[in-house]
Amino acid sequence: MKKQISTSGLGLIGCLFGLPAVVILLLAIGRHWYVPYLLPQRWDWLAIFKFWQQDSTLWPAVKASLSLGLGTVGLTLLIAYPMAIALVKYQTALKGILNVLIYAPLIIPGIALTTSLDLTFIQLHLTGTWLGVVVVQTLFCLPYAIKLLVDNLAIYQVDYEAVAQNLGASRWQSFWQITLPLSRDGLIGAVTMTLIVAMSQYLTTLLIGDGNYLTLAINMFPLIQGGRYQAAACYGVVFMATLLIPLGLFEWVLKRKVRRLAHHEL
Amino acid sequence: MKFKKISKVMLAAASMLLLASCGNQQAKDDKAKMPTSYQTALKAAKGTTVTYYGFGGSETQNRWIDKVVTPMMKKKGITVKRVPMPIEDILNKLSNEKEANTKKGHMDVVWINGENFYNAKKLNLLAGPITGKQLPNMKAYISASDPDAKKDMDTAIDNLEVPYGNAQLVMVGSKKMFNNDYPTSAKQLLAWAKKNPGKLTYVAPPDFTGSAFIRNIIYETVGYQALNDAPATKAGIYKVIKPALAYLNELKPYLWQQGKNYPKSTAQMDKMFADHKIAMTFSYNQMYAATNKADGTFTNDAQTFVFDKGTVGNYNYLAIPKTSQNKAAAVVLINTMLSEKAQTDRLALKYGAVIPPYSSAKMPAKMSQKLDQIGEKNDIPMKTIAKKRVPEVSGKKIPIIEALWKEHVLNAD
Repeated sequence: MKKQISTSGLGLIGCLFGLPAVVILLLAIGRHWYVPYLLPQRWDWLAIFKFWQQDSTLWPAVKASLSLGLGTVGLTLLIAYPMAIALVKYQTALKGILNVLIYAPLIIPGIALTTSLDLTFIQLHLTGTWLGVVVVQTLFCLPYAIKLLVDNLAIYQVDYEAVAQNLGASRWQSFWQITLPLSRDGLIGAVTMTLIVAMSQYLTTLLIGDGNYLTLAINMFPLIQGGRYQAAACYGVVFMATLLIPLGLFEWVLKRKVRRLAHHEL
Repeated sequence: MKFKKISKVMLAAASMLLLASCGNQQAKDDKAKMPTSYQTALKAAKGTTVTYYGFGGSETQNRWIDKVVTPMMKKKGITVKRVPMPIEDILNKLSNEKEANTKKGHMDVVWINGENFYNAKKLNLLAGPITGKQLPNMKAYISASDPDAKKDMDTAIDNLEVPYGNAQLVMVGSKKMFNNDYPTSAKQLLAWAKKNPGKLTYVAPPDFTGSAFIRNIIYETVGYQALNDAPATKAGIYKVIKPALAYLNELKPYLWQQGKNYPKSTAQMDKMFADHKIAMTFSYNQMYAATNKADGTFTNDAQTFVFDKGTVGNYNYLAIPKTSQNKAAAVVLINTMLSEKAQTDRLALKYGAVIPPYSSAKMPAKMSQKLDQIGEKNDIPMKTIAKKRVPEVSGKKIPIIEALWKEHVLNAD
């Protein structure tokens, strides 16, 4: 039933998403790029590696971004996945309200939320701690993660799980072998979105982290503001790599697991 | 029963933690207090980490802290952690800490000046006094009678901050577009704009460089003294700067996009200048053209010039927040940033060539020579720029001027 997307359509999508990335790459390795010229007049192919060598803050930033990002992915899934299953599975009167409440962190202006959270977190001695930052980042990731998981689970209506349990599978078996593999696409989407949102958090990481967690976004943002586009672009390239490598790994592992489970069943 | 057992174990663990922390309490108190002399500061700070919070958008200044200041501190046994944070967020954080009534913050040294210092002082966020007693380098190189050591944009400093860099507005023009004949007064600038419509613009306030440009236009039209004498009220300032606003409105239709839009950041204005879309950009760093030529952002076409009647100058300052947990190391860091070695190294183009805050009478001979040398790279002697320096007006007046510009120039029609 799947229709093949036309080559020109694919090309257009590729351009839309690929061009900004290409511009960032060109900004990183190009020199003397002025208006009448379409391309930089000089090239410095090793620019990113040189920058890596020169900027002693880059590697710690990669580590801080990953540690906070993965922590946020973990905490987000821990809350979002059961929440999504519950929202799909159970019919309660609160469902309508819950569906709106989920979006509250995105509806309230971010700066107001962050500044007031900062005040509360100072009182709780959570500012400047890993947990504090992960909790606040999770707050902003939950709406995306829950929405993606709910939409995915809703397709199957968890009926398969009921069928499995009717056939004698335990609750754990039906979750592990039915629900989990079926929500694969939702999980991949939720993890991807969560990691992207978490790693792009600037003000929350800065204020709640109190400067203890200098992520890629924190180092990159002032460089863009200050017009140091070349240095910012180097950060951009590293940012993309830091984001894409763990996501690729995650997708690969999850797909393999699902395939293995499918074989096992047969 | 089980619950009781768990709570007992937890209580025991908590009391052990408490005991362990008591041993360190004395040392912690020592470094959290404002030291009385440099020697006690150095002793208490050994083996600790000190944080520096400030604007992180200047690659050259980041490099200076990382490659010059940090190694110098390392030799003293102190680790420096540089945190790029915009000053608005720093003030937000500090006032939140105050509101939460906590005495423990993470910021030890902050880069601050002007209206932000005025606000921080008003909110009582800064620790003091920091004087020559704790800072031998301040005593050696900065006269206490220097206007910039006494007042920061007309706000009395009262030993709450220390100057660490000298800034003055300079214009950077395109040799080709101006035909090597630069408009060194507001009048000439207007005449040039009328002949070459669409080739000039300025970054819109509240960007602080754009705001400085507008003050400079006010100085050109009504003079520094008139603005300085004006009361810090909207009506009072409006009365005085009316001719300047009229000038800016006369200039407006000849600006890029007929003055309907303005670049939002100096970065955007610099890019337009580098692309020759506009003939002039400006900066608070006297060596801006030279550093940008060195890293390939500008070509040799970029030339520095100043207005004949002068351009506004101010200083960058360092302060210690009240909530700093390591005031001892903060004092050592400030003293190190003021040292002759750190300041001389900072004159290199790769470190932004920032002019030291030293008083001219106390300037070491080597430093004066170096200043003459770098002036050559900048097409205009450093002394010529310094002679054209005019002071800033009160930080209180700046937001009022910005609001008046918005009302009477930006939204005039």
